[in-house]
Amino acid sequence: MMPGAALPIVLLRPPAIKHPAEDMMRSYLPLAALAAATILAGVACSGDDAAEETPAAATATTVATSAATKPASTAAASPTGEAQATPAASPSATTAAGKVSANNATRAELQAAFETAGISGAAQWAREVVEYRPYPENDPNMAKLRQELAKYSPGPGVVDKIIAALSLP
Amino acid sequence: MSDDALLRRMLLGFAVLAALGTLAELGLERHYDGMDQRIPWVIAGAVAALGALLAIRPGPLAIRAARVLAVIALIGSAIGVFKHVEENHGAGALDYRYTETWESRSAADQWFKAATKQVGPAPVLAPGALALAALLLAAATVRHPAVRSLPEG
Repeated sequence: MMPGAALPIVLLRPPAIKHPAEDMMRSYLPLAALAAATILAGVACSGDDAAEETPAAATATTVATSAATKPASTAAASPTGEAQATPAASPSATTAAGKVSANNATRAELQAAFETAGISGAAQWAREVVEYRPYPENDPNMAKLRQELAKYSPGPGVVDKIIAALSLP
Repeated sequence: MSDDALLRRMLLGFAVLAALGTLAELGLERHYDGMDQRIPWVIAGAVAALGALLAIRPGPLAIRAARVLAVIALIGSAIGVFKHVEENHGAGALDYRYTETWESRSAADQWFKAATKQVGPAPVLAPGALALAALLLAAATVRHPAVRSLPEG
């Protein structure tokens, strides 16, 4: 994209003096713009496709989906479960089981819950959970969140741990 | 209709189509979390609107606005590419292949993996669609009759 940075300047200030090559430029400039645009679009599309076909991402999605039937309280019942009652947690966003609300908990509350569950990268996962809100209350398996988190190629069981630390609404 | 006018119409049509396609893609990706994710909506919407205006009622002001918008879109597109790389960089530690080793990798290696989308979900060059639409729009204003009538300076 950087090589084309000078193009707008040319477009903004067309030469005032006639030149023999002017007619040729007049003919080819729009075509050149079209070609550059087509290349840009093509490159952008190919990048996206490559990511979708990554076997690792597909594996992670499969693992996360197949493990979806595990009890939701698996991760929450860790020996360090007492630490879930962090000072930052608000009563409205934290349930009696120590879970935090997927839709209402703050990022800090989510991070604390994930750290308690032993999930590495808790801060980043908390950010992603907040980003993809809201989550439908009639989907206790949180398929939407699972689908979004699978894009990050998480390790086996990570998504299940995250879901286990969350509640709805 | 002259060849010039026909080509200009086609470029404007492609510009509007590209802008509308970008808007649709932004919607499908739910690209509206926070202010920075809403900026491409504004740029793409402006390209579509200006493209339509140039097709219906071309004038010196609209042509200048289109050129300025093209520059803004190119800058926005470059920023968008960087933001997508940055997003992928932030997601590096979440990838199960790099969870244990991400922090110990060199910065150059981390950014290379983010820029080549080996980590993270953000399509790195997707913001280039804005540049595409803007360049088409700007190309449609080259040697426009309304510009020729403008005084120099």
